[in-house]
Order: sequence, then C-alpha cells, then structure tokens
Amino acid sequence: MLKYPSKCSNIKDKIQTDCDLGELSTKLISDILSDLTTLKQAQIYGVLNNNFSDKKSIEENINIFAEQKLNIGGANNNETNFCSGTKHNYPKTCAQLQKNMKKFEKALNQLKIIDVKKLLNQASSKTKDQKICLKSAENPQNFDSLFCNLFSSLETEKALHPFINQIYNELLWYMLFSTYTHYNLSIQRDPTNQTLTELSYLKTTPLNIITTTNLTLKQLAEIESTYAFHVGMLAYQEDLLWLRNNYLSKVVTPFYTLFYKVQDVQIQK
Amino acid sequence: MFKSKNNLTIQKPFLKKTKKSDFLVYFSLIILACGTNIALGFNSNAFSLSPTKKLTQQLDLMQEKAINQLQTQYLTSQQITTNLFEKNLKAQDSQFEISASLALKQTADIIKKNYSCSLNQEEIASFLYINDPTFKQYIKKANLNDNSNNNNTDNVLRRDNIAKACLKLSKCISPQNLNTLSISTCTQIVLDAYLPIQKAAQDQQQIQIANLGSNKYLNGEN
Repeated sequence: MLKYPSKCSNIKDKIQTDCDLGELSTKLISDILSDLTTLKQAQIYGVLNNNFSDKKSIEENINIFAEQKLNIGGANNNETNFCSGTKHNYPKTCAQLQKNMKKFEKALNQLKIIDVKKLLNQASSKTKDQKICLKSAENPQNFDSLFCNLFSSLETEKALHPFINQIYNELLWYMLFSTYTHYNLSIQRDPTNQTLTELSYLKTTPLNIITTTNLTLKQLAEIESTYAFHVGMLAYQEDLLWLRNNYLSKVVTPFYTLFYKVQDVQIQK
Repeated sequence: MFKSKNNLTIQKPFLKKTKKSDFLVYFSLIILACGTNIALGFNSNAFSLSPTKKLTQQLDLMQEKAINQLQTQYLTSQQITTNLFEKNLKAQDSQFEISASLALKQTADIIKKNYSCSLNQEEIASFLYINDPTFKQYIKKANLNDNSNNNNTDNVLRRDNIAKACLKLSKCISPQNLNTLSISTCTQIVLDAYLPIQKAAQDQQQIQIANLGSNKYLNGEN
C-alpha cells in the first residue's frame, strides 16, 4: 500500500493546486530507485525468490549462483552441485551464503512499488535459461524488461549495464517531470509562499537524487565485482581445510615435528 | 673378543662380574636413564616442561593459529546493508544539514567581523526562514521528523528573534542613533552575508555532480 500525502492520493481533491507535486514526484522516484537497487543487490547476493523459509529453494539458488558466477559444480547435477553434491560440496560456504541471503528477507518484504512475488515468479527456472532475455527481446510483446534488466547480469558479458540503463531511464523521466513542473511554477506572476517553497524544492532535490543514485550504483558495481570473488575464496578456504583435515594432517604434522626437532642441529648458536 | 656359535665376532661385555659396587653403578645408570626419558618427554608429569614438550606446545599453538586464520580470513562483516539507496539519501540529507549549519556559523562570523555584532545562529536562521525558500524547505523537512513542534509557536519565536537581532544590529552599527534599523535593512545585512556562502556551497555541489567521481583529484576534492 502506497503511503503518500492525502492531498496527493485522493483523486477527488484538487491535486493540481493542493498536492505538492515536487515533493510527491521525489518521493515516488526515491521509492522506485530504492526498490530497484534493493532487488539488484539481492540478485548480486544470489537471491532468486522471496521464499526464505524453504532451505531447499535457497540451496537451489546458491547452486545456480555458484555455477554461473564461479563455474563450480552444476546446479542440476546431484554429484557436483555446490551445497550438497555427493562427490564434493561446500557446506560451510553454502551456510554462509544462506545467512547473507536471508538478510534480504526483511528488505524484500518492505519494497514499496514493485511486487516481488510477481517479479520473482519462476525466477529460478527463468535464470537457468540464460538466453531467456535474448529470446524475449526478439519478441517485444513478451519481453519482461524489469526481470531481464534486474536479473540478466548472469549473462556475464553484460554485467550491470542493463540495470544501470533501467535506473537512468527512470531518472530521466523524473528529471523531465521536475524540470517541466519547475518551469510551470516559475512563470506564475504572483507565486504564493507554497509555490516558492515547491520551486526551491524542485531546484535542489533532483541534484540530491542524482548524487545518491550515482553513489549507490558505484557501491553496487563494487559489490557485483567483489562478492563472487569473496565467495570463491570462501570455497577455496573450505577446500584447504578439507584437504588438511582429511589428508595433509597425516603428513604435515610429523614433518613439522621432525623439523622442530632437528632445527637446533642446523642452526649454529 | 670371542666367537659365538655362529662364528660371529661379538664385543666383550663391558662388565664381566657383578659386585656390590657395580650394583651401585647400575642403579645410578638406571636413575640417569629414567631422568633422560623424563627429559625427552616420555613422562611429563614428573618435572617441569621438557624442551620437546615446549616444542610440541609451540607447534600446536602455531597449528591452531594457522587453522583459525584459515577459518576466518575470508569471512566478511556480518552486517550487510540491504537498503543502500535509502541510507545514501539520508546521508546526503545529513550532509546538507551539516553544510546548512556551517553556512549559519560562517554568516555569524562575517556579521561579527563587518559590524562587530554577535548574532547567534538561531537569530540568523529566523531571518533566513522567512526570506530564503531553500532554507525554509530544509527547516520544514527537519520539522517533519519532529512531531513535538508547533508551527504557530515557532513563527512567534522567529519574529521575536528577528526583532531582537535587529535591535542588536542597530546598537552595533549606529549606537548613537535612537531609531532602530528597519527589519528590511536588517534582513538585507543578513542576506548579504549569507547568500555568497550559500552560492559557494551550491557551486561546490554542482562540481561534485559534474565530476561524478571521475576526476576526484581536481577541484579541491580528495
């Protein structure tokens, strides 16, 4: 349910005169950009649905993430999938990823504009088919632009580009509207105090929105380029510990014991 | 030296006969052997830590440290900021708040320097609230978060502040004159001091936006 000033949300009122459109449009764009960036960040962390209580579903998301971002295991392969593959798996890294993903549960439930359930319906199966966005681009009527712009980064060569285009597209409409409204208000002969305040708001706030958007995109780009490496390193660490506990400990410990016993002989005091 | 049944040469035993004095020698050798064993770590409870025991402990500590490092070196902070845009927007607002507060302080300093008159920030803010729409917008926004405010009371207080500040300015500028300066003159004095500061702040913001972080080492940014 959208919560905006009653003067703006009640259609029976005179929206044109009573509603502060500058403030309303800024609130709307803030909510849109906030929803989009939250969803994108969740996607970077591997979230593909909002069913956080189903462990199997979360593990499936992690398996897809590991296959597509790290090229580890196969999401559909019972022997090699990341979380519970029978031949080799990474339970500790998987648990850490689950923790990270669950932190988005509250954020996704608090989105104001975008309906997560609709957006993420069948998202896992859609994401497995990496060409789904390319296919639907050839058929514009069925092209799910929001889903593809948010989740198409799994096509690695595109990275964040579709998402950044989406964000600046929204920002462009907002800037057009705020400039248009600002112009209309500024040509009034005897502006009221309310109009002057709105004018001032329209002059300063778009700059804040642009600055905030740029900063947020920069942060997302950093997360996007580093998170996969981080997960890769966690998996590498788990492999090292596994190797040490199962094999190396039988060799390394006696070797070091011998080294410490004979080191005094080697070092001339 | 003698030969065994298999014709193998065997060295003669060191002691051929057993005597009482020999028994004492054997006994002291046994004691010595036990001591050596203890020193080598076969019986650690008898005396203080042997060198081997210390080495083993050091080795264990090193291994424990290595395992801890392995287990923790790639872990990130448990805190993940999930609503980046909202937090950045709030930070942006607070940055504006800081710059507004700084502008008030600078305005007070300029008036003090030019007219030797100490106006406080609240008095300057009262002038600006009525005459500068941007500042009014900022105050309005700040008041939205504070439910305890009362607009009517605030307006009365502002007018009171303006009157007091204008009286102060009159005494500073022309102490001999019995007539106080008009409110419009006082307002002009405050705005003359404030507007250049506000413009400089806006210019700085526009430079930051124009740069978009690409040339952050230019224009005084660091």
